[in-house]
Amino acid sequence: MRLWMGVPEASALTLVVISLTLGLWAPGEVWAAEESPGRDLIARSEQRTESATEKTTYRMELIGTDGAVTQTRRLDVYFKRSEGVKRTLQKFLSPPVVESTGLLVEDTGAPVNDIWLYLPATRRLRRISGVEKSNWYMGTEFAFEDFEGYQIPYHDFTLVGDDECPEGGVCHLVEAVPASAEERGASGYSKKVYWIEAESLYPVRVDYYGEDGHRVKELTSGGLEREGDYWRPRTIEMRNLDNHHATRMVAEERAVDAALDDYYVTKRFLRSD
Amino acid sequence: MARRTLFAVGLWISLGMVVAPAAWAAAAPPIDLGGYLENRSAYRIDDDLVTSEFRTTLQVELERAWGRWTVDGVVRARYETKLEPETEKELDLRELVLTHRSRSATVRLGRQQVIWGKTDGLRLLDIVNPLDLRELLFDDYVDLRIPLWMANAEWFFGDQALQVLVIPDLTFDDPAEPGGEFYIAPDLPPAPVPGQVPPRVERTVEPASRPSAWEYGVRWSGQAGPWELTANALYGWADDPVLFRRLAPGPVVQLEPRIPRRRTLGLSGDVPLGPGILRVEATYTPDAYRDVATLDGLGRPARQKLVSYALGWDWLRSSWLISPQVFQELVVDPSGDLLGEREQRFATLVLQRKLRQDRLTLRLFALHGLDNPETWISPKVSYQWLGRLELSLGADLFDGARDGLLGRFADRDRLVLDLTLRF
Repeated sequence: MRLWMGVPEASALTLVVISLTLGLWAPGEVWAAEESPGRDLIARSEQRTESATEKTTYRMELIGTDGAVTQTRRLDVYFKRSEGVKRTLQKFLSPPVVESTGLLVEDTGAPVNDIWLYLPATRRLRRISGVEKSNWYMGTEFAFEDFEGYQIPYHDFTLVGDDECPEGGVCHLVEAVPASAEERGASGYSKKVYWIEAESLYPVRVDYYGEDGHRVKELTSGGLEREGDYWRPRTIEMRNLDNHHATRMVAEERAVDAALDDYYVTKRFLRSD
Repeated sequence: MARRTLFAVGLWISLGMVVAPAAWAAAAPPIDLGGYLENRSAYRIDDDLVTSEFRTTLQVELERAWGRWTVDGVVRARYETKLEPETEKELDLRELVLTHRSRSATVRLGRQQVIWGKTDGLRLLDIVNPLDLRELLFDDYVDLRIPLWMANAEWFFGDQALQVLVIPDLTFDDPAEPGGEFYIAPDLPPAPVPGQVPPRVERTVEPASRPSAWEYGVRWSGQAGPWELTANALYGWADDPVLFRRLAPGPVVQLEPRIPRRRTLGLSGDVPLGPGILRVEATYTPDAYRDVATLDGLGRPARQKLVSYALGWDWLRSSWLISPQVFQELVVDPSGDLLGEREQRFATLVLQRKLRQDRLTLRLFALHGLDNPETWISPKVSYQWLGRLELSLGADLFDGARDGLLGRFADRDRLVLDLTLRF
């Protein structure tokens, strides 16, 4: 099956899972060494989904064990790629207990990223070690590393078969295992399985496996729709299979490849209350 | 600085933000309104849970933006009945800042807080704003800092930035009053003939605000490899008075409290180290005053060179934050025979765990004096409801020698209950 659909080049760059919308992105270099069907599919998925700039406003719902929403938040997510660095800034708009709290991640292509957290209660920027990217983020079921892209240079990818996608259609399943010692040490996962939707090449589901090999989390992306040259999900939901909590993100507004001043992906903006 | 006048001007500007002409208001973006209503009460553990603090605070925060211009205002009304002998009734325009942001600079004019440094719990470089010390350091620094009227400009050059502060507002620490829960009596020299005339304390001499007396600060920040660094300098004033003394006819020891100039140079930085982040901070001031011995036995304050540094390490692991720090302060090449200690060392530890999707927070802060063993331990549990209501129960537990900074409060152990509604 031919999966490459010939998306516009420079404007339609890469990428991934939630990083599509939330997040951090894998290094932009095109992986050429060690051709394999799995890696090839992931590389093409990455190329199909990354924009140059993006700003999305989300409604975030924290969901408890009984399925009830325990807290609803709103946040803006800014993404910009320039001079080889991909910067993602998240800033909470509500409720009051988290308003103005923000996170900035600078992805220079290394397995460990620079991360800064701004807490309005102290009015301080606190640097977070990228080595500890497996930590939970702001009470959600996301870890910092879940905002990363495929991190292609640091994983081995294996195409393990096809299955039906969560919302129908065919998905190709690709298993990703940390390949570098640094990634193995920093990641909280021993393995991830990406469900790549055959037509859009969008990863509509990701299964995360813990260090002991059991499935710990499941990410599903629903309501895929065209945003210019890209596919974007309307909802993203991360379910924690251990504690039975979930975090749902619903995109309310999105601007892809629109003009975005560098200011919105800087520490300067992060610490502006 | 005529604070009442400034307050009035600020209040009018704040009102102007709210009650703008209708047509103008219709064209402008809406005001972002926030703030909180808080009740904080404390109860002495060793004294039948007698109320030692009862404080109600309403803080209103307003922001209005027009393109690259923003006006921020913070007004705080506070009513406290137990912490000091006199009831505190405060209506304060805490902050009023006009900000202009361009591509390469941010200029902030008005009453504001400027936060330097990277340490938690104790301050080294965080010296721009004076402190409200009525509750010593046992509250959040955002509440303890006294905002100052100033011009604050910062220019950005790639990864580097240069900040310049011009501070005409000469406001100093606001210490606890005698009889207050956390009052610290000054170390007075003995009378010349014990039992006779006690020392006479004159009025504190504070500098008048004129350009030659203003405070000036500059900070460079940038990156060097994995390090994030700042270099800071502040040409300011000491935050509290130095007790200069002389023998007057009588004989009586006459104490003349004066606020001396203080120059401070500092560095701060952080870098990934192992699974965490190493934080470092250091300051040098050639204008610190310490008492030295004199032949008449009165002692006198003498200018000293003071070096301070701190090392801290933050480790986030799952829902845990573990953050130890050490501090050392050292008088370099003492001028005279010091009456007090030449060096002081402290260690702090923060243990924090967040649970139930960050709604439940367990936190322990401990500060321990390494030279004169004394300790402040502050455990706290807090819970959030509905994204706007927070209830916390904590304690401040003190131990150590009665003449120590913390040990003197050994009989003031307290439970602290805090209920905050944010809007």
